[in-house]
Amino acid sequence: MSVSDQIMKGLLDGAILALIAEGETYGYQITEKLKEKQFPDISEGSIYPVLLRLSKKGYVLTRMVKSETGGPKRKYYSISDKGKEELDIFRDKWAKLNHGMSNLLGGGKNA
Amino acid sequence: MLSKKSERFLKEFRIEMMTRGKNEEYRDELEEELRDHLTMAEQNGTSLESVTGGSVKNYLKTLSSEIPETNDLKRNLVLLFVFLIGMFTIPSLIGGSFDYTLAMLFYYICTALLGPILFYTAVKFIFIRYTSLQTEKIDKMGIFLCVIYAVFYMGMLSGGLYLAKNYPLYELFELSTQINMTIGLILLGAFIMVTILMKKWFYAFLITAISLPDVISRLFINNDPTSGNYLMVSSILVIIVNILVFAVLIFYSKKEDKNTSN
Repeated sequence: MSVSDQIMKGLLDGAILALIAEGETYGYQITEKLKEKQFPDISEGSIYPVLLRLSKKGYVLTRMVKSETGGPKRKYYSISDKGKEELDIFRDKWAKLNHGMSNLLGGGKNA
Repeated sequence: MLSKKSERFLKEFRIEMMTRGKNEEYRDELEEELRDHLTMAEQNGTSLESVTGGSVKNYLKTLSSEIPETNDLKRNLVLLFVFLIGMFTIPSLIGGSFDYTLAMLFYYICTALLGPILFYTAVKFIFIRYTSLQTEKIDKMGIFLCVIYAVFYMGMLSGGLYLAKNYPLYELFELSTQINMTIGLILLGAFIMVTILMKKWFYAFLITAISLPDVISRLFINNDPTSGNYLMVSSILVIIVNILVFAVLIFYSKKEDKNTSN
């Protein structure tokens, strides 16, 4: 896995957690929101390993809802208190990282 | 309504998870979730490939480490192969016809190595083509193929044993029939104890039933396994045991059907 792929993998967990924090949502809607917000290089199916991981760590709560139109059941995700704490940590780290990387890469470009 | 291609993907995905022993609750939820996603994606013109990449194995690889496994499948597979080896070893040890030859050693190595691969390939082939996704039950054609496969597999085991016995290659060592019988009885006792401790009553019953003709013949009829009396009594007992095993199998299958219909 290349360096940029590893960065994307790490960031996707935080991005999805932030989306879930906006309100209860489900898999397909998460991919649509990621596209809307122009999150780059994301294949739709790659959100499910992340959702499983977030769920296993207790950052999100899940519930299965039966479809009223006879379609498949839908799994809804909402953020837990532990997830909110983790998201705060992620936001703080991202702000620092973003600042540092902008200085580094921006400086390199100007040199 | 999902496309046939996506339905097939989901079916193979579920079976791949089953054959890898993934937790049932996770299997159900993940399959429902993907079904929901694919339904929405297809309605909006997105292909299966752009959601999952198209390959069941590669997609499952990305999820595998996050899905817990149950030990049941692996435990049952190990037990099945230990049972198969026990079935071909214990009665012949008790009967005194066990050979310690190079060919027999090859036979056991091949059974242990090829057995799981053949079993896995056949089970996957039959499950993917002949299992209902909703009920997880195999249809009639699938059951027919299971029977054909079981006959073919047992034929291979018996054929291999026949070849190993008739072409020994090299005799490693020889033990007296008395020592063979003692080893056989110890192994039988150990096997029964382990299966009972694991609450696998059927395996305990089956190995006892298979070994019983030789045990009775050796202990009560004649000490010479090649004598006419011995062969006659053990053959009659084998027939009785076979009838008993089938009766027990039919009884349990009827009982299970009754429980399912209730």
